[in-house]
Formats: sequence, C-alpha cells, structure tokens
Amino acid sequence: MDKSLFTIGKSIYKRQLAVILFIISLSYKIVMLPKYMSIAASRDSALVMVVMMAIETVMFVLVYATITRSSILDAGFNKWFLKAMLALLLFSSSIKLVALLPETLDYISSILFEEGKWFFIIVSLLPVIGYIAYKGMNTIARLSEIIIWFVILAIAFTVLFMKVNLDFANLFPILDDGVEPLGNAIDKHFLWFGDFTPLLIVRLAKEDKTRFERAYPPLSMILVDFAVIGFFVAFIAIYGNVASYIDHAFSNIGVYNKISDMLGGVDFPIIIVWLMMSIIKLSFLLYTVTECTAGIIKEKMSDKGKLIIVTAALVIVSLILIFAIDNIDTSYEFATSDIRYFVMASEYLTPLIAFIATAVKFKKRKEKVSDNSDRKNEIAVRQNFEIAEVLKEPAFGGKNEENN
Amino acid sequence: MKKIIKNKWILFVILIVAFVVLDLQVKNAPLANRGIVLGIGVDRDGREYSVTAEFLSPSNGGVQNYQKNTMLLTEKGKTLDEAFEKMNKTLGIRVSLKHTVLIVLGENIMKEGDYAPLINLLEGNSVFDDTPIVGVRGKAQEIFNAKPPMYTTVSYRISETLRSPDIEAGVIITNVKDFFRMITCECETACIPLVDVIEGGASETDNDGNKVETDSIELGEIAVLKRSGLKLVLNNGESDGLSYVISNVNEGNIFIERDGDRPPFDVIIVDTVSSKKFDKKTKTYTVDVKMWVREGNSMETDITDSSVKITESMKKAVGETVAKEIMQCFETCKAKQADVFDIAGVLYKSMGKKYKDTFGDNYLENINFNVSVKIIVK
Repeated sequence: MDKSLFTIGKSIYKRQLAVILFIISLSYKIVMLPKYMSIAASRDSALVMVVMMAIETVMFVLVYATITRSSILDAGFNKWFLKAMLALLLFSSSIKLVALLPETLDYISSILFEEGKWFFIIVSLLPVIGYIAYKGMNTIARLSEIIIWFVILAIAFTVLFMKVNLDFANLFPILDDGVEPLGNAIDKHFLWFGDFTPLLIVRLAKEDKTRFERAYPPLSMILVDFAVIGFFVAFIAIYGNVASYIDHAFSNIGVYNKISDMLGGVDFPIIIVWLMMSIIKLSFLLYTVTECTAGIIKEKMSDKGKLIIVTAALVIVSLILIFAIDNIDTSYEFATSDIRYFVMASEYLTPLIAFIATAVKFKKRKEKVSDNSDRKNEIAVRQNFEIAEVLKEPAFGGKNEENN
Repeated sequence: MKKIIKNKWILFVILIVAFVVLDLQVKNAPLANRGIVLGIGVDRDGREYSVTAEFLSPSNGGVQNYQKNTMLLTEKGKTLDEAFEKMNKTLGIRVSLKHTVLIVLGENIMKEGDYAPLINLLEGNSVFDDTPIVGVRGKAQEIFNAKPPMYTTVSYRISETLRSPDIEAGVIITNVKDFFRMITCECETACIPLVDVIEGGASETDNDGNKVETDSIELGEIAVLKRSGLKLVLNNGESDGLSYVISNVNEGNIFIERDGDRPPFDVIIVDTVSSKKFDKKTKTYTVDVKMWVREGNSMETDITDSSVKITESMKKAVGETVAKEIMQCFETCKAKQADVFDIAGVLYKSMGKKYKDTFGDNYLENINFNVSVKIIVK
C-alpha cells in the first residue's frame, strides 16, 4: 500500500500540499465571489481576478519558500515572536471561518435542500468540520487526496457535456469605466484571498518520494491560477451583464450540460464536489485556529487540550452564525466591513515576515554550522599534524638507534 | 481499549438519537407531499399577479398518463412568493419550483414590461436560469388548459420543442438568463417565442384503440420586448429572418417561388452559423450568415434526373430569400426602435461608451445594415 496513505508523522508530502492548496484556493472563489465581483467590476471582474491571482502567486512563493525550510512552529523563533505570528494567523483565520461558513450554509440550504434551516445545517456540518480539524493536517491532506479525483471527474464531466453559448465578446470593452471599479472590487473582497497564509504552520516532509515532488506545489499554483481566471472568463462569457444576479456560480454553470437537460436542472456531481471542497477549506481554517490557539497558550498542547479548543471554537462560531450572522447578506456585510483591512494586513504581512525571519534564522544556523565545521576541521588538521609529528619521532627511540 | 469502544458506542447512539430528534424538528415534506411545478404562467390582474402553476403530483403513482397526474392551480398575490404561499396553503403541500421547465408570460405582463416576477425567480434561485420563457396572446393561464398530446403535459410539450437540438426556422430559444441579459444590455431588447394553441388540431389513438382529440401547440411568431414592454410581434417571415441570425437553425424548409415557367422548389436547412461585425469607417453593421442546405422534397419527387442538383441560380435565389427575410425583420424592428440583432451591443464592444456620442440614441437610423448570406450545398 502507498505509504502516503498514512503520511509521515505530523508532516505532509509536497504532493499533498499541492492538492490542498488547489482546493483551498479554488473553493470559495467560484461560488459567491463571481457575483460580488460582477456587482463591483462588471465585465472587468475577470481582470480583477488576474491581478488578485498574481498577488496570490507571490504569496504562495513566499509561503512555499518558508515552509520548505521549516514550518514556523519548528523554526526555532523567539517565543514571543512566534506567539505574535500565531496571533495574527488566529485572527485572520477566525474571521475568515465566520465570514465564509455562511456561503456553505446558504449553498446547502438553497441548492441541496429547498429553504433548509441554517440551524440544522450548522448542527450537522460543524461537528464534521470540527472532527477533521481535530484529527489534524494528516487527515486534511489525505481527505484532499481522495476528493481531488472527484473534483477532476466532476469538472471533466461538466466540461465534456457542456451545452452553452460562450460569448467571449461579453468581456469587452475592457476598462471602459476606468480602473476605479477594479480598485473597488479588490478593496472590498480581500477576505476571499490570502488563502495560503495559514499554510505557514504546515510541516512538510523532508524527504521527497519522487524527483518531481518538489515541483507539484508550484504546478498546482499555476493550475489554480488558470482554473480561477478561466472560471471567471467563462462566467462572464455565459452570463454577461446578468452575472450580478447569479448566486452560487459553480452550481449554476454546472446546469448547462446535456445530462441536466435529460435529468432536470440539478447537477449533483458539481454540487457534491463543491461541498467536499468547502469542508476541506473550513476544516483547514478551523485547524489553523486550533493550532494557533494551542501554540499561544502552551508550547506543547495535549490532544485533550486541542479537543477543548476545537469544541470551544465550534460553539462560538455556531452562536455567531445562529444569532448574529444568520444570513448570506449579513455575512457579506461582515466580510466587507472595515475588519477586512485588519485581516488583509495580517494575511499579507505574515508570510513576508515569516519568510524574512526564517531566511535570517537559517542563514545564522548555516553560519553556525559552517563555523562549527571550520573549528572541527581546524581541530582535525591540528590533530593530524600532531599525529604526523608523533609519527616522525622514532618509536621507542628508534631514530637515535639508527643514528647510532 | 474496552473503554474506548464503549465510548464510541455511546457517541454513536447519541448521534443517532440526535439526528432522529433533529429530523423530527424539521418540517420535511416527503415527495408525495410536494407539489412539483412543471410550468408557471404569470398574468397581471390589476395590482396583483395571477400565477398559474401546472403541478406534477406523484401521489397517483405508476400511471404513465401525465395528464391524469397533473393539476392546475391559480392564485393571486402582490408578489410571486405570496401567490406560491397561498398555493402551499390551498393544496396543503409544499410547492417545489426546482423542476420548472417552462415560464409563460401573459400578454398584459409583456405589454406593461413588468419583469419583476422574473427577476424574483432568477435572483432567488427558485428556478434554474436555463428555464425557457415563452409568451402568449391573452392570458398565460389559458395555455395550460390546452389538451396536450398523450403521455405528456403542456409544459413538457412546449419545453421539449425548445430544448430539442433540432431548431426549426422561425424558432428562437430564450431562457431566463438570456432574457435578462438582453433586456439589461445596451440594446434593451429581448425576444421570446409566442405559443399558439389550435383547438382540436390533432388526434391520437390510445392503448384501447380509442381516438383521442388533442390540441396542437405551436410556436409561431416572435414577441419583441423592450424595457418598457411589448413593442411588436414579428410575422412568420420576419421570425424566420431573426432565427437565422440568433439561433443555429438546423431544420425546416425554405420554399422558393420563381418567375415565369420555372417551377418552385424547396431546400432543407441542415445547419446555420451567423456572425456579426461592425466597420467603423463605413459605419456598416454586417450580419454574415452561412447556411448549409440539401435538396428539398419537391426536388426529389419532381426531378427524375438524379444528376440535377441545386444549381448556382437556385443557391442565389435561396440566399436572396434569406437575406430579404433578415432585412425585413431589421426594417420592421427599426421602425419600433427595437434592436433585435443587438447592434448596440456590438457597437459598445468595439467602441465603448463613445458609440453613443457617435451614433446617438437613434443609432439604428444612423448605421448601414448589411446582410451577407452564403449558401453551401451539403
């Protein structure tokens, strides 16, 4: 059996990281965001995504360069410095968890069920997310590896049997209203980006299974860039100026296929696949919340302690969703409120700080190692010299004997 | 170990109990208690909407005669939601719109340009955005009283024609999404097919050998709507012209009458592809239509010599007829300021907002409209 089935300890393989980053980056950009972006930037929303995905790619480079050296948890940072970074991650991940969860609830309540009550969805969904988050990164990685095949199949199925007029002229004219709508769209929707920052706490396996293992995450990043931008282009090409009316873009586009024509307007592969992706993403956010809280409270938290943190986080999130953010409109108001600037600051600064700090730390470590090896070399040379000197001397006064 | 197993079992039992209790709390509607809506008809009645729904009731189960398994219900409300709520109460079952295959707009809704109910359906995700829309002269409610062919319903009968991959000349398909895309874009013009019912227009024989009279349901003319409401109804020739440009027509015949002793002939349309372009220098908007045709039935029967095929002059005659119908459609619509070919959209995409400064609001008058038709024998 494949060894990756069980992963190695608490670390994950780069191949698994590639799958995770694809899922966490794609999942919430293809449901409500296309509508929100269309309201803000109309046909230029695809252009907004080009800009934002370029920024995401830069962030990925920083995060990947950091975690290939070490997870920030194991980098040996100063205790308070680490806690400050974990606090930033905890803050951004908590806000994102609360802001994105309603999208899943709305998706289930309107697509999977007709007018499903949020309370019952919360009660059944959150324990699942909590359990996965509690089980940790290995479980998230393995689950991602399993569901990615369903994602590929569902997308291939939809594309193969697609029956829709793609009018790419809908994308033109570009920037007819200037760059202001672009700026507004980016400014308002920061919360749907910065997905890779929590990966800073991920521990990567040191050894690679194959020669290509190192290339998987960058390839996945390129793929997700194309997938997100391509999706937005297709969305505008299909809907044009009515894009701003369309909720749940991913499932609505899925309806335009020949199979749906025969079976009715429900495309279950797409619906189920997105649900799986959203569970992975939410579990990952909750896992980040748990790990960061644990890291701030105690250096090494027991499993029991983590279980308490997960449970407490779930209770708090449930209460917020039941009493405060109880519909998708309120959730959008929350996500686009001023809090987004703090989330943006913590999400965009943390990878940069972590990258620099890890680089400095490893440089020092390298210098220390080379210092140590120089000293060792010196000692070895000196010892060799001494040995040589000793060897030159006649054993048991042989030289003297010879001379004699 | 025993303790863990014990705990797991306790957890399992708690979960089962929790889910059963939770399930009891939800107002679940079993399939038999759901009113699955196949078609929605919307009329305006004073300040209220009159909504007619064709329901598929599975409660009779097993019978393959849909007519017996469908029922009609009409309710009024200030909004569509209010009307559907009333239906819920009247029927004692839950109205389910996700399987709606047809939306019918009554004449008064079209005339007033009251598209609010459709926006509700689109925004609320109540129906899927590829659900076809048709219009009707008179009340939408009346269309559902027609006797459809056996083993189908009015909604299925019409939507089957609209969803068919074979599109006849004169037929256009407009779904909820396309309707709003067109009515809210620069051209502000949307077209929907009109449905006609010919009473007793057809008959069938049932399994017992009895002759059953049914109504013929046909799609003929096309209604042209602007934001302000219904502008005009295209006749058959104009509808054909419009369909050659906005639908991929791949079925139907074109009959050509010729001068002198030359006999009339027909060709069968195999496929049609169209494209639109705008030349800024000459201010000419050109519609290019490529049509693939083959010999029609009249040619096969009348001409004994198998070597006689569609000649160049025949191709020319077909091309001229097609171009004439497209031009007719344009001229009729231009008179009513209806931009059915989305000329404004093409101008906007090539020039941006500046097109309004160059051509003004009366842009249809200020451009040259050109039609180029290429007939290819397949």
